[in-house]
Amino acid sequence: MPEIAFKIEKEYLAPIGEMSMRIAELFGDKLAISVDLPRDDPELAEAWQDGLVETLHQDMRCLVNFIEDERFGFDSIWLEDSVAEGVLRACSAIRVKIRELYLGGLSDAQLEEGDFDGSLLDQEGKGAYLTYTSLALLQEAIIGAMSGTSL
Amino acid sequence: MTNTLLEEKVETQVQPSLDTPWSVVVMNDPVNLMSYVVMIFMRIFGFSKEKATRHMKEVHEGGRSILWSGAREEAEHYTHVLQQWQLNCRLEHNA
Repeated sequence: MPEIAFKIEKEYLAPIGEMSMRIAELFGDKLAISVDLPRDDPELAEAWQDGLVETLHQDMRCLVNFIEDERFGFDSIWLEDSVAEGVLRACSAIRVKIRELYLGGLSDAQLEEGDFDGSLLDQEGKGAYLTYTSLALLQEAIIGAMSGTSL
Repeated sequence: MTNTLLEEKVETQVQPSLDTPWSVVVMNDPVNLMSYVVMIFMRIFGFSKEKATRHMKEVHEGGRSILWSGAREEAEHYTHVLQQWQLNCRLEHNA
């Protein structure tokens, strides 16, 4: 059971939580990534899509519960392995969506290296970028914690 | 006799395509962290860290990497699991 030690400035907690919740609500029956479904078997394609949507919803619940924990951002939180996995996947899904919705004007290299003028982003874009980078840090913290456990 | 021979001939022509493996291919994406991708490859395929890192670099630098090849049902399973992890992944039939 990994212990997640993830600390961020208190002033960033609310914008990260709000942006994450907003993106989570957008999914509905949609996926974060585009998926090639099996074309020769409609039943399999439907089950395939439904399975991915169900996992995405479960993962979002894991992340929302994690963010709503009163210790989030300033104290260690122990997570069940399956919950830690869900949080990891949810962070990835939200980052994919943020990239698509808010950061499309930035190149892959700019995003990877953080090499761009942040003042060019509007207020919403800044919140999106803050969430994008913070969730990456959270993923790193979880991966580091999980590497010490036998998952 | 002729029919039997023909059936045998048809069988030998068809069999190889039925046995042709399916490949699980991961494509590059600009979002997921390298450490995240390596961890997924290790967990899902049981790769060593070195092997998982090699595949991750192949994806990052070459745009794609074949992670697994074999029977269709297993390949579908792996593809589905990788997509649950938000990886840009697809199933390819090695025709």
